[in-house]
Amino acid sequence: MQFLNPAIQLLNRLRYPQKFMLIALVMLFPLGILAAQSASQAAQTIDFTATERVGVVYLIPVLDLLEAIQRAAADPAAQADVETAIAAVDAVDAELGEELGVPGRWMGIRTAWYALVESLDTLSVEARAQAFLALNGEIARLITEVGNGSNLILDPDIDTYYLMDTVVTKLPITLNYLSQMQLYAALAADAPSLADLERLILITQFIETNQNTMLNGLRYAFSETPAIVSRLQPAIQEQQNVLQTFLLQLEQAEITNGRSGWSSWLRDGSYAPQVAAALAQTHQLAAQVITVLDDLLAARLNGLSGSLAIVGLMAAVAVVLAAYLFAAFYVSVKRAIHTLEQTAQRMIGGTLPGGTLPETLVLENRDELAQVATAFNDIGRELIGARDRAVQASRVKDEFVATVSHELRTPLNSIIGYTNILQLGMRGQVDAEARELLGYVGDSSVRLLSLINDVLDIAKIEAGRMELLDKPFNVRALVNTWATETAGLARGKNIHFDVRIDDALPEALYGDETRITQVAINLLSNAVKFTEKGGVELAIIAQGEHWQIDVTDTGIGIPADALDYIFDEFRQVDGSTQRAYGGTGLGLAIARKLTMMMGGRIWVRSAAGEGSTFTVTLPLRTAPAPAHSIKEQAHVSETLSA
Amino acid sequence: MFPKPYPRDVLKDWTIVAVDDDPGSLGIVSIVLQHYSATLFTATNGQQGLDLTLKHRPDVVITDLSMPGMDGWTMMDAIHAAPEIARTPVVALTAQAMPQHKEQAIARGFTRYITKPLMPSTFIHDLVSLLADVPELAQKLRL
Repeated sequence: MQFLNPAIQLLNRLRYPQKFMLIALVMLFPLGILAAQSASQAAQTIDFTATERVGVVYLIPVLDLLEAIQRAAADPAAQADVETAIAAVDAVDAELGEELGVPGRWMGIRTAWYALVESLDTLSVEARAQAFLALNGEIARLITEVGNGSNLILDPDIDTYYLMDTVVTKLPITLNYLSQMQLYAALAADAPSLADLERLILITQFIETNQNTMLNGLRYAFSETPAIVSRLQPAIQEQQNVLQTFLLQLEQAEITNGRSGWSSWLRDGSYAPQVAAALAQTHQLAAQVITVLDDLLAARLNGLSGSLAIVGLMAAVAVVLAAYLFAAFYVSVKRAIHTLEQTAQRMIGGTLPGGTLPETLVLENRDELAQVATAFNDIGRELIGARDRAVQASRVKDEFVATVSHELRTPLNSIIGYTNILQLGMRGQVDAEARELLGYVGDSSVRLLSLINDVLDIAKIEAGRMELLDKPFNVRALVNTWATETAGLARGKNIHFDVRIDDALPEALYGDETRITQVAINLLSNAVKFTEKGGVELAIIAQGEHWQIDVTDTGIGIPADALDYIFDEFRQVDGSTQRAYGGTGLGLAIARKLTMMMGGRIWVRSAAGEGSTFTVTLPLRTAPAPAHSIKEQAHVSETLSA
Repeated sequence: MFPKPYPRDVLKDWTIVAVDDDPGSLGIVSIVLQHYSATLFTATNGQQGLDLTLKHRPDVVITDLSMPGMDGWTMMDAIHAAPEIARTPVVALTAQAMPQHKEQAIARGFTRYITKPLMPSTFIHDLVSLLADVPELAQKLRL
């Protein structure tokens, strides 16, 4: 699966719609090129066929013109029809001549015709015949050039090719020969020479050969497209009949009478109507064939356009369907992930154990996402089990801590209580030495109590069971209780104590005054404890979004290397400090933990022998109503018995 | 540290019932209260305490919470349920130091919650300030 890595790296960076777009583009690009190619091929074929039809449109009046001229050669009355036919060709030539490249040829024919009409009376019969034949030849060339210029000559299909061949090549040849026959027969009718007869015989053979080639081609066209048989067969049959009638007659005459048979056919004038009929039928056939050819080309165009439209429609349907499925897939994935998130939120926020059932993820999917859901549910069950066990363990620990606390306090109660009773002289006066000894017992037991309290605080904080209140309190009243207590301690050591409260500080703040007091008193009693000369200063300062408690002393200070661990549990500057000053080494650790729980920071600036400044910053949240000032008595009871 | 000393007869007009199953603790309370001249009745469980309260109608009851037999909670409920003694202040004096216990106790109806160990000098101060807060009791203090 190594080879997939580059693609995986790429796809992992993309969101689902982008993945879809990428894959769709990679798939559609070559398909699009193929589709465009085949579409352009179809369009080319359509263009090609449309040009063929242009040729057909041009040929129709040209064939009419040929017919009229051939009639006019025998019958001057048909000249008017020639004029009409010329006008029709003029019309199509103006429109299509340039495209087919034939205006020059057409202008030549036009000029030749009018020249012929001009000089008709002055010409000999023979010259007239030659002129008509030349005109026939010119029109045959025009037909060929239209075939070339309009792609007809390159027609790619069997049926239309042979129909084209019939109308562009074969029938004009037959017409030309018939026309020659008509004119030569007319010239030779009075006194046919042997040469005249041989020429006519030759022409009949040419006509037969040409007709046979044409019929063979049409047979191919018919077997290709049988539907056109019924449309052409009658006209073909008719033309064949007319031709066969006089050609057979001539062959018959030749067999029975030799050349004289021909002579009588010429002399009695029966040739004229027969050849004219053959010409007419051949024109008839040409008109019929070109109509069918045009229909076939039109059908081909329709088919191409239709299939092009069908291909386009299918492509559009495919694209729309693919987009629809992609969108559905994306929405399905989004929905599954949304459900996953919601279930996760409910699992996280759920109250357990007892009562609520473990949340499970339910998806409609039967695919890979269903596997994800199964894995998710497995993890969820495991986590819920683990949480239940942790909650249980935590409760057991809480109960243990409460029990230990209770059991330690009960004997300590008696030690402290009776020592105090004796010290106070409630059971008679005790002498000075005994009072001193009682003082040791009292101090030791109070130290033991504060150690128990500190250990319990640490245990509660670590177990996450220390709950903070968030109530309004009066800052100045609170600071005054600290000051009262600290001033008493300072007086005992004969050092001075100053308090400074920033005027900018609001009257009431939100917070847990008991825990703030615990932190402040710890710092203040430490400051007094470690100061022998000079004094201690307490400064309360408003600092934007925080308020700050600064406790500065002129005491022994803290060596630089001790600054790193001074806030750790059970760490004092060194062992001798504990012996000289007492304390558990938990006070600053508790102060730091409480400060952090309240969203604040605590730090110290100090140097050995130069005193210390401990700073605590806490979030400043102004309480709207003036807080009730706390009672001093309550505070004293807290500090001594909590 | 120590509050100002009170006169020896500050509790002379007071009748107090103290209940605790730990004789050491009960001894301290007894010595201190008698030192300040209170009339004191002691009991070692809730039932005894309730009986003494009904009998002597004390001004205040001071009780431990966890005791064999009827505990301090039940006794406090029973006192508040008996119309003739329902208004008697009941002070909890206990070695249960967890903050949630204190909140529970105040919510349940204890007038004050004092945790052991008991410092006699502050205990008398706490008691006097408690009594001073209740007007009809305060007038009986001999300050």
